[in-house]
Amino acid sequence: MQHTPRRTIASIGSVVVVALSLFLAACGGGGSGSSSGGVVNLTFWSFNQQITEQADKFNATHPNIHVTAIKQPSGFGQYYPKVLAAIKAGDAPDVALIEYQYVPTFVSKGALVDLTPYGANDVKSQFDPGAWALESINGAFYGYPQDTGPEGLFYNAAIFKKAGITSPPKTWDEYAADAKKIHALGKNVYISAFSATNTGWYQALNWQAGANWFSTNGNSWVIDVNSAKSQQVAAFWDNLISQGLVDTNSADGDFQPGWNNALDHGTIASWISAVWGQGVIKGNAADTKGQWAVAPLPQWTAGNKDTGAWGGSGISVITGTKHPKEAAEFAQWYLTNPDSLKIGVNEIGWYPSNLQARQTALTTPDPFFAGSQSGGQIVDQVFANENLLSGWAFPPDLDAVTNFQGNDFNTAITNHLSLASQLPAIQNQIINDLTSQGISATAGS
Amino acid sequence: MATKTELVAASPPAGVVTSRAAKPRPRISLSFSWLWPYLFLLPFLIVFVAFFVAPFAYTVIQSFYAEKHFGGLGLTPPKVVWVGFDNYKQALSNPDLWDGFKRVILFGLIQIPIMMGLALVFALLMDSAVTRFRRFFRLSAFIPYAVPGVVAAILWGFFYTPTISPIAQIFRSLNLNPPDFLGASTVLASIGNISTWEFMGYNMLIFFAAMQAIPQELYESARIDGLTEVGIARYIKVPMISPALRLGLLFSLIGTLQLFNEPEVLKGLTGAITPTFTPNIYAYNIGIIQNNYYLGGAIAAIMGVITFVFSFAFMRLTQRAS
Repeated sequence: MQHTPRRTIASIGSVVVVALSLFLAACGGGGSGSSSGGVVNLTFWSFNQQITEQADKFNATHPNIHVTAIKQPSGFGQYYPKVLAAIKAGDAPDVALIEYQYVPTFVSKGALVDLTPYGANDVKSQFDPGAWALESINGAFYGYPQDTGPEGLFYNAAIFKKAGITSPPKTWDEYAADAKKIHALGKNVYISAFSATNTGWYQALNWQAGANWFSTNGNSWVIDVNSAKSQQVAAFWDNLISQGLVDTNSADGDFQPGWNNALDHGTIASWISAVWGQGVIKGNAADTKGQWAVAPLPQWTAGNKDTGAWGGSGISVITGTKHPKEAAEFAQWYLTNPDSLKIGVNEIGWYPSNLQARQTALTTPDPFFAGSQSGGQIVDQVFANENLLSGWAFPPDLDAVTNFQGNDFNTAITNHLSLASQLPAIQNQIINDLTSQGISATAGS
Repeated sequence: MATKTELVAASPPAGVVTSRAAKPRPRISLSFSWLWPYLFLLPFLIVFVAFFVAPFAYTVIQSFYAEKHFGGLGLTPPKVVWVGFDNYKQALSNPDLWDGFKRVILFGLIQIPIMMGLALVFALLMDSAVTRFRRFFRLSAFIPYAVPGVVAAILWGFFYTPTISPIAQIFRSLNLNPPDFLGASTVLASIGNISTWEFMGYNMLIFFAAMQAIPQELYESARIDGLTEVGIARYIKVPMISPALRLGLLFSLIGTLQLFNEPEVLKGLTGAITPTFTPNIYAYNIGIIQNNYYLGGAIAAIMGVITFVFSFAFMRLTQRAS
């Protein structure tokens, strides 16, 4: 910080750079899509790795369209601000990956093109209906579903065994009992981190419990963060937190370096995460290869297979493109063409929303996840057997919701208050935020 | 002197036509001479206007607008409308802004005196003739300043993260509970530690340089009058470098109000640093991450005014005091 001309100049500089970029954003003009010599040039943004390979395949078979794929950084507060700033600057990509939870937020900024006029419904039957529904708003359709993120339980079976647990928890009651057994292994050993500021995994647990935070009633949003079902989920975690059975240290929250280290050293024994979480664990806990296993999400009612989703993405066409027809053609090709899907499944690691491609994802056992089954589990199969509940929707101001929830949960944990006591305040903040933008919103309960 | 008077005397009175015709060149250069400084300033002014005044003005203008929907679900493109002071009302009535503001004030009240005190003590030690290894100490105290702020924060973040910190490992090997550097009640002090580490040496060097400019005769006469080395420091050195002290304090005050880099980097390591932790982080979070350029602009403008008022008040106070 501070105290120095250099520092002061640097901070003035950063303010100026931000201000200037906004200024230039407003002055800038002209889209990225252009055509030269009959060839339509398109830009495609995603935070997946192998997108250039897919674009090359498309370009090889489409001589009149040339797609330039650019991999973007994916961190929270990086990708979406960049996309929205680019739209504002008139310099947006023609096609971009947008996660499901952001679709209503982008639609409320007028940032996505309705794909219905470009033949979207012709391929509807090829996709997971639940994922398709997340892209459908008020009769319009805003992006082809790429991958889906049902939640399950990744667990380190070696630690569970050491704690005397032979099979993964089938219900949340069993999960709470296992949390106790695992913490008995040592005061630094926990069944899981409780990540207060990462909100997606927690919302998916409410989704699983049958809550519906963001629904619509006619021309108004109904914000229902404080329902009996949400209170039930909060009370469950409050119980574990008050007994000190989950790691609430904010430096050990999901994706933090401390958390990576704890996974690798066996002091955090499991992670409630979506199907894409397999890649995260393999990347972060390489030393524990073979010890991990995956189970369906624990249930409120024994025998059910219910789950909610965390993340998952679609491919959308961005407002302002000069070539919406060609952009829509690429988006559709990207998620229906077998070659593209093969790269997505085998190299990027999608749990694809394209149903035919999903079959191919369900065949290979992964030796990293050999904790409960020698030779490894077919990880995607565990998630495929779950029942992703329908009916959950996302709000038109996701970033604000994430902030409200993260902030209030964080405050609760710091000050030893219950999560349950924060729910009414979170609900009110969301309603106030929406109404201040001129959007109708009422309280659900 | 004499030649100059002669020249002035020799030049004819203004308005004499013949004289103007006879000496056109000096007349022109005289009448446009006011222009020259500005011409030399032009490169600076162009950059200053383009990169400071214009963006700042644009931000302020934007702060009077907002994206609005008009009822319904808000799933159609919004309109950008003039909202007057609504963004300012919203920002000023948000307790988060004031909590962040109180946090940086608390930070400044504790961290600035510690850092300036240390810097002054080290500068005095360095200036006293008895210090050996002066160059070594000067360099080692100054080196942290050469480390970019973001890198310094990453470096210290490594020391603070419980599961990877070597400090925590030492504690554990002694069977002690390692301190929680990144907890909600400790993280501000941890940031203060980084700032002190970074900028103590810089301030020390400024003070030390100012001491070098004190005339040696003062010390001689002080010693003849029987003043001890401590007395010299107390009654000569510190008062003589008070302009440098004041400058250092002013920069520290401004830097504190703008606290951003260190908490922004540590935010990736702990949830204790909220999106509203400091006013600057709050403005960044609203303006960039939440894409509300309009409200973000209002917060930035408010912070600009507050910083200006604080700096101005500080200068008035210290000028009166000296």
